[in-house]
Amino acid sequence: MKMAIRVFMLLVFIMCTSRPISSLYEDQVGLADWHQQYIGKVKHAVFHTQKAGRKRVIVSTEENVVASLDLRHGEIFWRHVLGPKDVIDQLDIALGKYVITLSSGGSVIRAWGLPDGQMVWESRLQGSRPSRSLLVIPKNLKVDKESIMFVYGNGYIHAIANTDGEVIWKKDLASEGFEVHQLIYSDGSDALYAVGLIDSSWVGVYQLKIKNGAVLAHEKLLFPGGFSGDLILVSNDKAVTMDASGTNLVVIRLRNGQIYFHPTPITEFILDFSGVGIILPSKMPQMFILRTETSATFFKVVNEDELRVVEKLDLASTISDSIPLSEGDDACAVIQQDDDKIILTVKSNNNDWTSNLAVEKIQMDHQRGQVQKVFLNSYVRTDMSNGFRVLIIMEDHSLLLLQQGEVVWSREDGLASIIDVKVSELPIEKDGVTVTKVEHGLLERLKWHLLKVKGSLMIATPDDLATIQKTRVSSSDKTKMTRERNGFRKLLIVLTRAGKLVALHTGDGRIVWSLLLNSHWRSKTCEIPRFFSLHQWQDPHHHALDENPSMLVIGRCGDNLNSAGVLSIVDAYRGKELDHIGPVHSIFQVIPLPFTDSLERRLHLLLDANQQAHLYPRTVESLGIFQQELGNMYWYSVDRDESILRGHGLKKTCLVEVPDNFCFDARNVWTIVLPSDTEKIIATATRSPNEVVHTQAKVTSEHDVMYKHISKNLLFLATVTPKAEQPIGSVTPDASSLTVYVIETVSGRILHRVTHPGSQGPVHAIFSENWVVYHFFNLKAHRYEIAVVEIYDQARAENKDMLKLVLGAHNLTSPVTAYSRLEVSMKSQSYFFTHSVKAMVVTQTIKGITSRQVLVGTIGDQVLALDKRFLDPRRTVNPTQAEKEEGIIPLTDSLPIISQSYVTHDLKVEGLRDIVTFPAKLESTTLVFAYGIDLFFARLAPSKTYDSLTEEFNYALLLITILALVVGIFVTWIWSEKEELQDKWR
Amino acid sequence: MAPVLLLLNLLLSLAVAPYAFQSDELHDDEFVGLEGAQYHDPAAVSPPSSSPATTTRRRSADTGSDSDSKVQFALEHAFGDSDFSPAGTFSARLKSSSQGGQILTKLRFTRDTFSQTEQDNFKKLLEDDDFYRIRIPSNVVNQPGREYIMSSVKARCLAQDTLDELLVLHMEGVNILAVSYGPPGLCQYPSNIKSPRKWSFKSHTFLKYGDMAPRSQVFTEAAVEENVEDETAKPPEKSFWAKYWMYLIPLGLIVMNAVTQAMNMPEEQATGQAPAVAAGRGQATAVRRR
Repeated sequence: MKMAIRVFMLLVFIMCTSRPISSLYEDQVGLADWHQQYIGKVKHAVFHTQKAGRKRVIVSTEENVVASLDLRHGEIFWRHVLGPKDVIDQLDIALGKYVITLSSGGSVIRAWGLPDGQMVWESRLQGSRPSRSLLVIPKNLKVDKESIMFVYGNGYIHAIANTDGEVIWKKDLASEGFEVHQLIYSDGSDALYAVGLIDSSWVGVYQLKIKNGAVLAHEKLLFPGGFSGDLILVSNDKAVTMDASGTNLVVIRLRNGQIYFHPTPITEFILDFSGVGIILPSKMPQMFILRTETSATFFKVVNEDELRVVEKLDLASTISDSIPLSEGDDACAVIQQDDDKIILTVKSNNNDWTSNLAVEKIQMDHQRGQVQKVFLNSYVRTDMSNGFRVLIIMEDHSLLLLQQGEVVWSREDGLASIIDVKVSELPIEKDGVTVTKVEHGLLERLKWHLLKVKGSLMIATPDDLATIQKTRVSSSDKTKMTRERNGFRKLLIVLTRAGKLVALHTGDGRIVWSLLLNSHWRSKTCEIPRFFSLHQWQDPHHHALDENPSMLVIGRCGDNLNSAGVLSIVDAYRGKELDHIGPVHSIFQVIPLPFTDSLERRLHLLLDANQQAHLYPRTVESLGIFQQELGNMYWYSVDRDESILRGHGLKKTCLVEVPDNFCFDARNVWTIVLPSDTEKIIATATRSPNEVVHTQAKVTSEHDVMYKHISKNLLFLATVTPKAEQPIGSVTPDASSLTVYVIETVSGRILHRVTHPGSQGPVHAIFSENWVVYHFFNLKAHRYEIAVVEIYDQARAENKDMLKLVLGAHNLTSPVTAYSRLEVSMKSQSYFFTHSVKAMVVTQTIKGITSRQVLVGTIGDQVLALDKRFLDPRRTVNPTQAEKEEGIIPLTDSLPIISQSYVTHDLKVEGLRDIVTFPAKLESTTLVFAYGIDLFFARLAPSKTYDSLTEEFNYALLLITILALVVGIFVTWIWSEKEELQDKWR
Repeated sequence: MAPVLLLLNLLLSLAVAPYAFQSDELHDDEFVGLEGAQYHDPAAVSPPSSSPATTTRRRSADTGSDSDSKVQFALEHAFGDSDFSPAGTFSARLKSSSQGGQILTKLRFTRDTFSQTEQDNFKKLLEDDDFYRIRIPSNVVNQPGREYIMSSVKARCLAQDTLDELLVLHMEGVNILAVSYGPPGLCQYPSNIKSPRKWSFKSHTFLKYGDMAPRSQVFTEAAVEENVEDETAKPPEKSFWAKYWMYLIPLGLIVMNAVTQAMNMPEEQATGQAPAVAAGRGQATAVRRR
């Protein structure tokens, strides 16, 4: 009895003290989320394979990442993401233990420890004017027992100590308009040569003393006609360049401080030459490569200044820098492409580059496009001969290591530069596909359930626990290629900067298919395709079994806004291009319309630079649908430079030479002119077009009804004083103010306009339902603030009387037109917030019932979920009991940051650029995808999963408990029967 | 202790007072309504005066200070995609604002009546359900400023008994940012092609300046104050039962358990003796049976 009491008390105690925990348990990480790390398109690569330790390659990328990769597997040893403006110009290894990066146009030099990536030192180099940046690290050069390197940047040559980054001397050479193209240091000499051009027509050479940078000699010589392009060094005393016309090769010889020119016309070597030749930047002894319109030609400089053609290659070939093999012997790699194979040839300097050290043919995925860069590295094979490995960068920005005719590893680094993301449903499960799978895995499933039971009864061994965790994370259920009831499994279709469309599975983030559109689009008329956006073209619901969804990819031919547009329609299941339109009219803006045709294709309106609208798909049916709604089409445009907003409507036709039924002229409906001397537009936000709002009314604690003003035509606009556009700190609070607007975009009316004095951008804003949340910097308080504005409809505020509603004396069913006078009231409040923000979005659920969360991409590259309840303008210092019951939190100075509410846990989404959320089929759950250099995907339940049992729920344990209870009942029944019988016998 | 707290409270409230004060002063949202006193606006403080739309009434009392200067700017209109033509004149006074710069006050508006062609044009708009467009300069001092402010409304929205219109000019100093143009009430939908009986305008005009963003009083002090209040005036005590019911119920159960146990004890003792008796009885019966 005493025991029973104790157990009971203990249970009571446990029940009293335990609380539901909102955060994640350690073993739940990786169940519904995944994280992928990338580095971006590689610009420079330096191999580090000399020592016996781990072989690695150091790379710097276009995403400003410097990273050390494992040469065996391609994994990241360490990685650093520099700031968005801190572009890495040069990369090298010094003293065999430091990685040296020169960035920001040659003004920041850093040394990173090779094994662990710790920063060793950083130096800021002052300069007078921007120039190219060069880095020369001599092997063994010591000045006063300090080993040094030479850096050219911002017009100065610096000598810098390798070990601590101290600037030993610096020399300004930019004063006379001299631009250094090459720094030459030959081992053992005590002079550094700087070769460059003055006004593109003089060649200048400076000889500098290594000890202190004093000018030992200076020579310059005029080349009549001038040069074009860079000086390419072929040896320590010879350089080549092109003359201004681009038709003559000029060999520049420097001997004993004298400069000699030797021009030769290209036609002497290439008989069918026309146009302009370009010398490709390369580092090869006595060699250079000339690129003409038809070919790439290897030239060798022989006998002082004579030129000789060594080899002619087609344009598609890519050539690496040469590497030294042994004394006087160099090798370089040439990669040529042949349909789905790439041919790697390693050429040797011996015998005039005609002998090949290795020729390998490697099968290559068609969707990677052409090879863009090659880096060659050699190693000593087991038979003491030279082996070669090459690192290649493909058109889709992926990185591959080739060795012995095989792809050793590959990295999909194109995913580090995602432009746009859309989501697509997976195919519906068809009969006969999954049943067999279930039967097949029945035994495994039983085993797995048994293990789970063991785990929950805490009798599992550590090995068992490990198996449980592994099975949970890699459960085949979540990686299936079919639709499921909860809608967690989807395809993420992402468009990368390289022009590749990639479908990622939300279950584990693997690539389902990829399609390189860049190569499809490139043609004579469209040389440099630029990708723009991705839209849902067809999303079949009624024909889901026999039609595949498809995506519309939109791009331009060139960087200019006026360049011709290109459209592609891609099957979302198979990754095949279904249709290709273009080049067509320029594309300025894309408006997906809320109409679909009988094939469930969405109508799109594409606006060009001449303010004409073009309708897609170009079918009679879509035109019919569109013309019915023509009068109700409005859009707005924001001219940021002029601070002018314009509203537009459509005319019935279009004034073009060729009659086009699908083209419509725009008409200006309204104009808002902001005073350009006091206001500059910095941010806009609108509601997401497919957002669902569950209820239009909000019942307050006083049993009062507030009607939300819900309109899809509202625009949030933020302006600052022009001075305050600069970074924080460059303007005083008095000279800066932030003004925000809420504008109705059909009639061009300003609904709300307030000024935050002493505040400035950057402004991040989200518009959802009837509220706007925006983030800005308060200069007076030296803190960031998040402000909220809620818009309530006053015109319907009278509709509270039940009797009136019953009698129909209300205006709830009257047609709503944007031209009626709007009676709205605003409630607003602002709160301090600790973080600066990179991106801000709001969670979306399928029916909009679940309370919303604001997802904040913090400066630390994490995603923080903030309940909308904290951003309620109705919060007061002392909420009444009724208000508390309604869920109003007492007013606080600043928004709390609860460390458990980081969606990304302890992970970082390096270089975070944007976050997208899309609903699952389960109302409580929303899916979040954050991307930057890294990718992160997670499932989020803003109000907990109230509508389903979690995946973690142990059905087996429930079953066993029930069974045990049933057995218990029987046992006790039999037992009691026996007892009774015995009693009766007594 | 209590006096100290009270004193602290007093001090705090004194300290807070200047900060807590927030001026409710606004820019003069000066407005002059011409015609249409029936129209209600919550922001309007004084009832709008009314006068025939076609005449301009000047009140000698409104001359203001001598430094004020008058400005005039035109309202132009267009029917559908036609060109703009003058349709009315705004006149106002420039006043130097307390924050520096100039602001506009005492706005008056004179609307020209529609000519016969304009009436025909308007009827055409009604038939086509097209836009009636207006524009005004974006700067009242250097007219027309960088660009005209434009606004459009479907003609059907204006056509009531007379032509009703509401113009709200959003101002920033002497710049006009935007004009909200439309009917003063609901816009009828769908279109009625009935043209208005009277071709005169009932115009309501407002000037609107921007507001300052609200910011609640310095919270920290308020929070401290609140805490002090908590110390002094405690909320009404909960009853003993409401506070400790969760402990009392199990305790009660235990007690009940113990009691039943205690009650069982004597029984058990009683039953302890019983076997002997029973045995005795058994014997007795056995004897009896024999």
